[in-house]
Amino acid sequence: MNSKTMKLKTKDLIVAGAFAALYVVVLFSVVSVMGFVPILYLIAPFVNSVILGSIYMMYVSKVPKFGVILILSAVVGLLTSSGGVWMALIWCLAVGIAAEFIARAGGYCSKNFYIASYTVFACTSMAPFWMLVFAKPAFIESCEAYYGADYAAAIDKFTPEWIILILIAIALIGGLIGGIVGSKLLKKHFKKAGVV
Amino acid sequence: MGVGEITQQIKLKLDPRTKFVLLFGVGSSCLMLPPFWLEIATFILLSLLLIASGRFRSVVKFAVILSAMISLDIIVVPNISGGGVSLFLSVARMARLILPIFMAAMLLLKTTSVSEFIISFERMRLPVKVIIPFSVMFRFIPTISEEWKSIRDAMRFRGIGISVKSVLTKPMMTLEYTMVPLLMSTATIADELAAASLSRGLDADTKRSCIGDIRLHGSDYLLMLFSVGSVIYGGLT
Repeated sequence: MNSKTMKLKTKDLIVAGAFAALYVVVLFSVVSVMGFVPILYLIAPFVNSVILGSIYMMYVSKVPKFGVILILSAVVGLLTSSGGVWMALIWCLAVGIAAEFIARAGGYCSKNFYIASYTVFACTSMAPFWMLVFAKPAFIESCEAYYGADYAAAIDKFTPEWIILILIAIALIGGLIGGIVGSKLLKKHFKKAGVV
Repeated sequence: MGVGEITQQIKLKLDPRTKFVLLFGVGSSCLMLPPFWLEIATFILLSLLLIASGRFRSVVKFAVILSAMISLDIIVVPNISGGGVSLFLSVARMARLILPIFMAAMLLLKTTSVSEFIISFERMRLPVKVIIPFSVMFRFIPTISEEWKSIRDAMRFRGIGISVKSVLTKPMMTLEYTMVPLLMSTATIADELAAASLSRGLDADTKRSCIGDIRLHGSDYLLMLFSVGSVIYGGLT
């Protein structure tokens, strides 16, 4: 913060790692709580986007430099794709690059551009659901074998092909809410305390 | 002489790269819903590895949880029927699927130091902009869960503990009450960690040396073979 340089220094990388850890831990705890009930699992992108907004806003205002958003998206992508959904990694990186350039357009200091950037970034939260497009029959089959026919039927009923568009939409809305809430929290608690 | 002391002496040193491969292998094969024997084999293997790294007590805990869930499956499930069954089944089985992933993650996170992470990432010839955030992240995940425990205690102490009720009735307030301390402590610890690592020369331009022996041994190759094998097996069936 004391230097105007846009180059990432070692200290920035360490802070980035710490916030990426927080992001991932919160992401996975929310998903694991909501994953037990089919319908809740499908609105997980929305809830995640709202909750993670404050972490994202804090993260970007702590390290306002080119590249940090990309690092976060790579972390999220790698972890969500560990279940074998390689599409998720590509999706996360693409979304991360888009979010990075929106933040860059705002010169890494504009609040509104950060909120816009998070709205886009929130789409990473539905990355695992690409599986529903690319491997749905296999997924439903394995659900049936493992969780029983009721669960599989519930999943099947709520996941037609166009669900992916709805998931993106709710992730975007959640992202907008999360971004606004995040920047409010930041202003209320951290600007005054001088942490940011 | 307790079990802990004995296991201390036969400590097994695995390369961090092996632990990564193991985590991804176990993760992928578990999410592909492996057959029962593979599930058990994975569990036993991970238990042995954890015991060999001095984590005997957590293995006992995991074994108790696993056997409880398996016996639920065998004893309770055939005797009940109806709408609640699928939900009940999914809870018990989902947790069973996640258990090996949890153990592999524990092996990676709790038995590897930051400098071991950095050295093994360097051997993989990754750029420094990837190495540092990732190493810090893996080191930081246990720290966050510790912080979270103390934050929750502090909140309960003031009578504002989070529960299903508070999440449903006052979601935004609950979000604020949990996120703000978490963010605050992450920011502070990150700054401290940065100061500590920089003063130990993390950003020095010279090549890093490592006191530990980070190399791939025979056991590493065997474990990698197991991980890749279980993923391929899961992919084929």
